[in-house]
Amino acid sequence: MRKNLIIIGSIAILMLLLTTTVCGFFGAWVEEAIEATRRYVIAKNYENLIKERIDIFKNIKEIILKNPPLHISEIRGVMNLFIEILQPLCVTGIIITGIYLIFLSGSPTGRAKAKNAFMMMIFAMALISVSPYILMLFFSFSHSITQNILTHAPENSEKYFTRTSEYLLNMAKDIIGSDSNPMETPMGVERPAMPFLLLSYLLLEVTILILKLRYFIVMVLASIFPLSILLYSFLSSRGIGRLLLEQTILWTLAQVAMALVFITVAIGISITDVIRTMDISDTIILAMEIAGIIILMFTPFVVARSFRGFLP
Amino acid sequence: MEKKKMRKKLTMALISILALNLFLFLVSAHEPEGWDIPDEYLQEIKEITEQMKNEHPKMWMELSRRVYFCHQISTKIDIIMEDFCNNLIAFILLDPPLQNATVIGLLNYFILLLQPLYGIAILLTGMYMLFVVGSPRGRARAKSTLIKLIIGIGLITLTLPIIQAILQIIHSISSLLFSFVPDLDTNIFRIGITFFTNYFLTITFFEPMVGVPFLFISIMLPIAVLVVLAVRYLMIILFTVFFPFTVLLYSFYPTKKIGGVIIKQTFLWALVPIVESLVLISTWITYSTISISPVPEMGAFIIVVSLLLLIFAPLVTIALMNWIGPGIATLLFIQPVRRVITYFGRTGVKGTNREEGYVELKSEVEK
Amino acid sequence: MKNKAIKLVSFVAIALILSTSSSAMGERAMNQERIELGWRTIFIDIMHWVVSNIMGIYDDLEDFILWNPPLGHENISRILNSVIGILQPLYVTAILITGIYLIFLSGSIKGRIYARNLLPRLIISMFVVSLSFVILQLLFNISYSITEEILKRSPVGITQIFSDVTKQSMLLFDSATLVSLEAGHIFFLLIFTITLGPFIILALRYLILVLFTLIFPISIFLYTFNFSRPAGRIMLEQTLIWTFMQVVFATLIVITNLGISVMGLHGDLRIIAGIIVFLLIVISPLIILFLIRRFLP
Repeated sequence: MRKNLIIIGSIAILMLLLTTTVCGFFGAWVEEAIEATRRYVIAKNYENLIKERIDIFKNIKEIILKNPPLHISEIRGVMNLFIEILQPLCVTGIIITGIYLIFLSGSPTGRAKAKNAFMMMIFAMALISVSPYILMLFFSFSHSITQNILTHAPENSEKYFTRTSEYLLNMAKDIIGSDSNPMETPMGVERPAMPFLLLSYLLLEVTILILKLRYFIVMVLASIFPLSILLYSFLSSRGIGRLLLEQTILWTLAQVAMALVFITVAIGISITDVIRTMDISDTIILAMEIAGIIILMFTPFVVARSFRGFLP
Repeated sequence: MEKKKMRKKLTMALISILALNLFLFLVSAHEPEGWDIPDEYLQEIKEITEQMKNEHPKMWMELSRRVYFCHQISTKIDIIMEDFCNNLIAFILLDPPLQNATVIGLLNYFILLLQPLYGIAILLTGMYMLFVVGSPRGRARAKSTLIKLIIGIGLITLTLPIIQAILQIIHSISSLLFSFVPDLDTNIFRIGITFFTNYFLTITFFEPMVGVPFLFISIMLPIAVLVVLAVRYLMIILFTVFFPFTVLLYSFYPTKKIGGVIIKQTFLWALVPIVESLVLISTWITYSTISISPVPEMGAFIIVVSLLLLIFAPLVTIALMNWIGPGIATLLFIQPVRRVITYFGRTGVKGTNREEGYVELKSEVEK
Repeated sequence: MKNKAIKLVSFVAIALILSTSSSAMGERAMNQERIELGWRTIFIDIMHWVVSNIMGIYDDLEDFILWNPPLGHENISRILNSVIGILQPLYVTAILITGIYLIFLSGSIKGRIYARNLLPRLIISMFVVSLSFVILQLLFNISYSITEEILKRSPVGITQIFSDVTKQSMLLFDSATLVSLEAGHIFFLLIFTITLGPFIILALRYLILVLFTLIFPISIFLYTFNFSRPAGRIMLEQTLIWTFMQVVFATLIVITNLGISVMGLHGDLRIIAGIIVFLLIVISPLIILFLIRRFLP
């Protein structure tokens, strides 16, 4: 049995070797067939990748809605750590200021500043102790607004975002000659098709990445929340504290902005069949969908950059 | 299982190659399309392809595949350019259909959401003014906030008519601009892009990778122009829906800057058609004067440059024109309103009243 | 039986291996290499033809640099006249309103001062708008004569730098493409951008200049009033800058030509000089746009 296999295998290898070198056409055809298979495999791999991303996109509403869970998790642990470190500090500060006020009588300005700092520290300590609950309240507030906004979206509105990737993928598959149409399989060229495949993959992947980036940044900022409250309450470090607090609020509210953009794009594209002044062809719908994805990608950064400076 | 699948694919590929013999004749009879290459080169190409058929059949098959790809791509580029040329002017002038039931429903939902907020805000400001004894500056600010809130309620119910009016004005200005050149022909874009497509087709015949930048220019530039116009369309819907919030944000002193930013963005995105129509008109004029220019072959480059301008001019305008928000707002809405506010807001304590209208009036005098 | 089969197969196999490892394989490979080399040679020939066509355009480079929008052409003059025609009633209305405000409605002192400053400004700018054809033509003529003077000072023909760079790059392109097509890819892109880049920038300048010529009256109108003064100032500055971009281009090209002829750059240094000239020509509009601002009052 093994001997037969060896004989057959060696004959097959010999035939391949001979055909590629001796008999011109047949060898070229075999090479072309191998390359066609290779192209088909490339197209198939990319197609699987892109279809995975499109599946992720079907759950985009949950991804937009997702906020880090604060009641039980490691984030709460980090916050508790900060609270445990900062509370004794605040208590020490209060005691020192109290001693200064009662026993050491300095200049009037010094006493006024000490009184101010005293009030500030008591206030800050109260806030820091309840900071996880403040943050949970804020997250649920933003979550409910977003959910409310998202209920206005028309049915199946993810398809407006994934249709361009599918279009580019089909175009690339036509160029690369994949197996969808067996007559076209060997007639593809793979190198010019690469930009289309790359573009269709990147469009989806970057959007999903930015959504996850928002979640990650909210997570990081939430764990630093007690620290930013402390920094904000002291006058010297107010700048940094303000920056951190504003960024926390803005990145959480970016949810709302993204939901708004989501339904605007969905509604905007779905009402194009009402337009009478021009004939909306497929290319223009494609341009609108590309525009929709680009706006969705840039929304968190626009929100975080241009809405700054609202805290006193 | 995998090996069997691969073997099946291999055999199927082999069979389909054998069945596609007839495509291979394309190469020997075909020249690189696009340019009219002088005859001696064509002769050489024919000779070499004959030799290829006999001795290097793999390269010959690759050539046939490239020719097939060139046919496919030029069909696609033709479809894109046809859509582009036919629809460009209509797309520039397009106003989003804001009368649609869905948009109106969404807007009403947001207004409904804001009503209790307004009520609370007016109550709080009133209480602050009556009961809390703060600094004169705080009281002045509270007064102006109250007035802006009341005016804001009126503005919110008028959202749709206001935005429709603005869009209508811009539509008529752009139509007026277009009526200056009644013989504007957007087919010049097709002629310009054909220049680059020819480069692409001829070069891809020899080597596909070298031709990709030209393909990029031919496809990406028109689609990018359409994308900028589509972004404007979507942005207008977004800002219409967001308008009530904007008015609310503009009324409070700490969030005034944010409200101003959003209002400015709304106007700038609405102004895009005027900029684009100006660029189109100057492209047309340039193209028509090019016959008396020193270099008549430069038509294609004028087209490429005009496409680049069509993409970047709106973005540059939005970045540079910082005056337009306060300018138009001051002119149309807030100028008389501001005088009312400063009239009511003067507390008689000169110098400590840092109300913005007062400062602005002062600087007007100094100019 | 099996032994015989194995022996037969192995005999055939050895015979075939010996025959394939002979000159047949080598000859086939040589043929294939020869055909591919011939293919690349054809590509090089066709590229030479294309580049010589493009360099033929370069004979007109001087005229292209000097080219300004022809104000007498029917399209431009028609649109400019329409724009002026739209603006004139607006001016008359503005003068009337200011006059009525001054005479009848005596508002606050600041308002009166503003209106009194505004009135002569309105009259002057109305005058300027009616003469906008003449002013624009004057502007173009000044820029034209300065550029012409500069271009005359070039010691060699002004296209010398470009043709030298192209010749050197074509040599590099030839030697690279003979090896493989991808290697010559970058030289091809270099040649393409260097030869066509200046033309694209000059076409951009011409297009923007036509745009600003058409809205010149509007920019003067906006410059008159205080609230729109920054916008009018930006537009007028842009008009002036893009008009005198001619002078900048001419200077750059003449200096590089001086560099070649006087300083005697040879060979590869010329390519570097050519690339630098190209980058300067592309980047100089951006630099001037960002550096020279607010020079009008």
